[in-house]
Amino acid sequence: MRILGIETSCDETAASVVRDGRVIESSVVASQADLHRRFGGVVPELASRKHIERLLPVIDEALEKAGVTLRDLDALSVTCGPGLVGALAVGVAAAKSLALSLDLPLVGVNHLEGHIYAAFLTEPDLAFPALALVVSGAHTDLVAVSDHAQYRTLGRTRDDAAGEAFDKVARAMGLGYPGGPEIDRLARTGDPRTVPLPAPMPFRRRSGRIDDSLEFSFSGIKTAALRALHAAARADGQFKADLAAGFQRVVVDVLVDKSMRAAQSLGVKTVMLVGGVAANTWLRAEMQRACAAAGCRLVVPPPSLCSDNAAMIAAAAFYRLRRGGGSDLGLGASSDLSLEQTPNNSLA
Amino acid sequence: MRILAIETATSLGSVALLQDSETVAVISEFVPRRHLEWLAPALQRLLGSAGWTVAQVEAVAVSTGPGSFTSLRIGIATASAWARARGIPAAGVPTLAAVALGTQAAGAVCAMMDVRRGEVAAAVYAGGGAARPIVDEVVGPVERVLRQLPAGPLTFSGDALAGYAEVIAGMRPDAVLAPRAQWYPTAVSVGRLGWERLSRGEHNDLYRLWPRYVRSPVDQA
Ligand SMILES: [Zn+2]
Repeated sequence: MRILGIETSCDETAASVVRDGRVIESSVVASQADLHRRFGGVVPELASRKHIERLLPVIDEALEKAGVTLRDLDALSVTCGPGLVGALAVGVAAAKSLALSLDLPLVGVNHLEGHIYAAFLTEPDLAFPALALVVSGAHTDLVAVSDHAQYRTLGRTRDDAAGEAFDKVARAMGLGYPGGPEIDRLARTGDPRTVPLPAPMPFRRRSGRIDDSLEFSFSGIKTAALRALHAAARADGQFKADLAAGFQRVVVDVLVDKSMRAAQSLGVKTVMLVGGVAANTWLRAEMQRACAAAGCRLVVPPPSLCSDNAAMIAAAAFYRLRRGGGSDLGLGASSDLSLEQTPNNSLA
Repeated sequence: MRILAIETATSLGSVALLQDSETVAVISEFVPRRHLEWLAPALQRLLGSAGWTVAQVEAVAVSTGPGSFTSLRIGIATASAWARARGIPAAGVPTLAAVALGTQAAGAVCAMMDVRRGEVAAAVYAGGGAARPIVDEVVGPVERVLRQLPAGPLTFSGDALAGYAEVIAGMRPDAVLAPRAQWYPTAVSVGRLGWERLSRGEHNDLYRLWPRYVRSPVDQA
């Protein structure tokens, strides 16, 4: 079964052709990051305008790279939330039009579910039950995955998403946007012990209080990092590298620690690390180390499948269709869609 | 030529099928902020009501604005994806021309739409369904736009009349105001204007079929 995936939830216009939920025949991503950079974040109306300019060329490029035509497709899939509603609407409208005019099934996919299915593109025979940490510029969600499409959200962020905190600290340090990769790069030359930052959860444990919650909060550590930056007598290159390393270490420690406690309490042996921040080298290494120590198998997609892409959407759609699921032409777009909600009305 | 026409610039969603310039079927419904959910099922119902198959449609016509940016994009993304999938031409049509065509008037028509933020977009068309404006699209506060219009009898139409009828009547005592039922552009007008273009051999490059925006994206929030 060959599925075309479409993703327009934020600032990437993406299309992909995936066969049987596991073979990526093409995956094209047109990033708008360069356009939003000077505003320090995504401008929704600008994103929507770029999506309608780029979507058809991106779809054509995906078909061409896969060596197929629209006639070779068996289904259409599209992200229908969560995300920017005006941006999502462009992809959903195009996908529905293609489904209607080609008489093909349509699957509306939850963006978070898409991120989780990037792990199945990496390891199709991934064993259940599993734990997924979805961590990006918009999300920090710990999710128990007992089977295909069986989700229970264990914890999410109360304020900033991890990637959002990276972006804001990077911006204050005068680094580029998006900030995650910049901090990651800078942190390699820094010493994480030089700039003292409060480590929210391990700190509490050392002090004797136990934080049992699987909820996240990154605004405190972000504020502490910004305060340290402003208080620094000389915020030179080495200071910034040390601050980046210290900030990154605290964030990664929290993500890894809560993930491992969740894995332990659920008794799962498979951990998926997905979403844009999963491209962070420190996070990947630390999660790998912790999983090995706990006897868990860690599945981390390559960076190209961690950041927003349409292959993950087509992959998620395959498993939904295989169970008889799908969406009807009344599919809408939602800024806020939880994993427990099935996108739109119909079936599984 | 069998034409599928789509109009989503205002809260009146409208879809139609035309044989050349003759209406075969039409569905028009008020769907404020529901265009995305409404459009594809409406197209499916429309084809069913006329007994047409998808493969029988030979061209697509679509309203390109001014209007609500998000709903315009929903209509245009639908039109261009359809045209791409079926390998048929698509023709974009200015929404103000569709408003003018849908307005019954003895002489010239000023089509005026509310583009929010205290501004209107307007253009003047000779009567009788002329596709080319006498006065090209102007955007701005209603008083300024009215001062830019030529003197003489004019019939005003469009959704800007909902908020600005009094200002228009005050500044132009000779103005005729069209009845409310004619203010909203319909897919029938879009289809006729599309047919005019298509019959001349004109159509849009699908990679450049975009809305006509009245302001910059960063101004929008
Ligand atoms: Zn994402």
